[in-house]
Formats: sequence, C-alpha cells, structure tokens
Amino acid sequence: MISTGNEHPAAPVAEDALQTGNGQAIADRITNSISLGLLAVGERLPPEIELAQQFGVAVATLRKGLAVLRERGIVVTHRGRSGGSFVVKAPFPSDAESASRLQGLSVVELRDLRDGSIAVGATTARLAAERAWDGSLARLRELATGVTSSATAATAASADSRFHIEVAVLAQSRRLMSAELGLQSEISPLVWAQGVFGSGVAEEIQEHHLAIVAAIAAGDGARAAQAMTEHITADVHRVIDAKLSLEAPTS
Amino acid sequence: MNPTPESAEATALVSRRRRPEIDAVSRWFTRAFADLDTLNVDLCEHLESVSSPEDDVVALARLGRDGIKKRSKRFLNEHPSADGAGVIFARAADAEGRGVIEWWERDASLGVHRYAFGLNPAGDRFYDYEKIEWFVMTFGSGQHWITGPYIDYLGVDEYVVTLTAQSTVHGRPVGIAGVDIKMSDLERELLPLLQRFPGRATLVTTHGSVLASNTSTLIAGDRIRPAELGLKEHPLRASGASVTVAYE
Repeated sequence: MISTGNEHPAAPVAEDALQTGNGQAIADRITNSISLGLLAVGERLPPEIELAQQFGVAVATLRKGLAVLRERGIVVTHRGRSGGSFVVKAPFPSDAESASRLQGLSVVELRDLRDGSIAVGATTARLAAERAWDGSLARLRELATGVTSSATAATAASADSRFHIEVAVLAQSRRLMSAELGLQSEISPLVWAQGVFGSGVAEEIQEHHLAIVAAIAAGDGARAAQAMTEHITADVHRVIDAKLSLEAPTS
Repeated sequence: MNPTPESAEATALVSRRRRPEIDAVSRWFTRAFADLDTLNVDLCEHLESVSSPEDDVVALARLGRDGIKKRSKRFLNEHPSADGAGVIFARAADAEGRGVIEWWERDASLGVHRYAFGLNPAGDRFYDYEKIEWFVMTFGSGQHWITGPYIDYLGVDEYVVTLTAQSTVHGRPVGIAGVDIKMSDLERELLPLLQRFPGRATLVTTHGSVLASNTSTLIAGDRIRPAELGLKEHPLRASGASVTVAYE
C-alpha cells in the first residue's frame, strides 16, 4: 500500500523517513479497514500488540501509524483504565484519492494483489464448501446480495468485503481469515472506487457471489474455488483497466 | 418381546461395560454441562435476587452486571479450558431491539475482561446472535447444546465451540448462559480420552462436523458421515445429543 500524493518518491531515503513512511503505510491500511466497516466508528481498536500482529508490523511502527491517524482525526486515544484508541471518522477514498492510489500502483503490483487474493480466496471457498453446514449458509446468502442493495460505493465496498470475509469464516481457518481481512482492506476500495458503483458492475459482482454461494451450498469445493478465482480475476482486471484508462495518452 | 426400560438399561450397561472409553468421554460431557448448569443456576438466582419480575432484560443486565462478572470470572478461574462465559439475553422487545450481552473472556494481555460486542442492529458490526445456532437451539427449547466448531466472527473472533443452557429468571426465560471453549483447548481435554479407543474414534456434531478425533484422517472441521466410514455411533445425552461419539 502506498501513501497518496507520493507518486515520485526520491531515490535515497533516510532511515528516519523510511520509519515515518512505514507509519504512514500502516495508517493507510488501518484507514482502509475503517473505510470498509471492518472497524466501525465508535469502536475501540484492539490492543496495540494485537493490532501490530494483525498487520504484521512491529509495535513501534504501529504506534507511528496511530500517531498519523490521530493527526488525520480518524482516531482519538484516551488514557486510563477504560482507555484505548477509538475510531471517530470512517473515510472512504475520494475519486481523486483512489485515482492517485491507482496511479501509484503498478500493473504488476495489482497482478500480485490478484494472485494473493486468488490463493487465499479460492482456498477459503473450497474449505467453506467442505466444512460449512446448511444452517450457517443463510448469512452468506444475505451477504451475497448486499452489493446491489447498498446506497453508496462505501457501503457496497463494505458489503462486498463482508461477503469474502464470511467465506473465510466458513472455511474455519483463522490464518486464512486474517489474510483475507488484510487483502480485503487493500482490494475492495480499489474495486469500488473506480466508477464501479451504479454502472451495472454491482449486478455482475452479485452474480459471481451467488455462483460462489451455490457451489459452497452444493458442497462442491472444486467449483467453489473456480467460481472464486473467476470472480477475483474479473474484479482486479477491472481495476487494472481503470488504471490503464487513467493513464491513457489523451489525443 | 418388547424390551422393558429395565432391560434397555441393562443392555446399555452391558455395552458400557464393554466400552469404558465411551463412558469416559460421556462423563466429560456430563461434567462439562453440570458445571455450566451450576454456573447458570447461580447466575439466575443472582439475577432474581437483584431484580423484580417487571424488569426487562436491559434492566436485568444492568442490575446483575457486577454479580455476573464475579461469577463468570470465578468460573473462568476454576475452569482453565474455558475461554469465555456469561449471559446472552434475548433482545428486549421494548429496548429498541438492541442486543444485551454480559460476557467475560480470557485474554493474554488483559486477563479476564468484559467483551464488548456490536449490539446496535443498525451498526456495521452488529453481532446478530439470535440467528446463531446456540441461541436458536437453546432459547425456548431449554435444551443443552454444543455449537461449532466455528470462528465467532464479530463475536470473540476465536475458533471455538459454545456450550449453552437456558437462563430462567422469575419463571421467565430471559436468555442463555454459555461457555466458550477454544478448539485447541477442547482437543487438549478430549484427545487423551479418544486415544483410549483401540480403533478410530471421533466426536461429531449433528452436522457431521468433527470436533476431535484420534486419527489424522478425521480432523476438526471435517464433515463426515460416520456410518459410511464404518463407525458405530453413540449420542451423548448430556449434550442434548448435539454430539455423538463415532468409533470402530
């Protein structure tokens, strides 16, 4: 994840600047989690040690990230027994912010995001097909159609994300769920920010979700993995197309 | 000739005598639910003593909070394999439909602490617990139940099973008392018992989900049909028959 407005980083980076950069990167990732509704306004962030583990960074780096979030007015920190960091604002990237983010990411990086998402997503779909029982699928069915009943891009992104996370929940693997949470916080703002909302793509995404649910409900792991692979590929390729069109020379 | 209850009992005794390992597993579940019942009775008596019959569940939870804390904490201290304990109240009709939960959880850094769930139905992270199997199966019916294995996403976010019993206060069901056990801890408890079986042995839920077993061919989370694997089945009455021992 890159920080916005930083398309041309200077070549040599001092140790100090690198540290601050890491803080900003972690702040961006936490911001994405909040944008997606994985962390809600008013909610207390998990303890620092736990949060650092979740994001795979050192506690010191996480603290720098929290400092950035405080400066941005996204969290406040209270001291004392009932203290902790609380979310006070849930930002969804503006069109300008996501355009800048897309320009900062290379096609190869987006492809890598796709590859990682498929590795995790297809496996969660296969395991969910093997492990989920009927009664636990009602919620997944509900979530599958959340993308078309959302009023804004931000809520659609959140609904989309929740669907993928629920598949991971049904897979019953904490490692994969944790990986999926991280991937969703990166991928979903990109998928939903680029003019996707209201352009009929939500219906296409919903169709993919329903195909995944049908395969999981049928207990067909191979088909579930295949459906998930096709879904993620289509999503990320739309993002890559959006990036390419942003950068197409105007004639 | 129809078997009389006495002779059925006698047959059961005979088969039990042949299978002391089943008896050991069965005792574990009987004990686990007896412990939950003891906690539940204690919680309900406490709630009854601090409230009047007109109080709704929001008031009950508020009036009972300190006592629930004391009892849940004590339970967790006395039962190291339990990860969480408390009372989940049925959502009050007259309380804007918000959820009401008094839950205490073990945490490596915070110790035993009160777990804050998303209880606002309009919120993104609403913990819609009345749709979860443990609530559906226990509230109203009053039967014991084991739910899982499942990742309690938006709940305690752990891979657990949940044991439940109904809580009745002033003669009225108000919710359920529950105990969470992390799957790794459940395994530590049950594996020694399963390893006493001479052949393959596994504990499965009504959904066919494996809770624990003594073989790598059946692992927690796998879904199986014991009969197709040539396994005999013995439902565990203490669990509301939500768990069955399947063995060779």
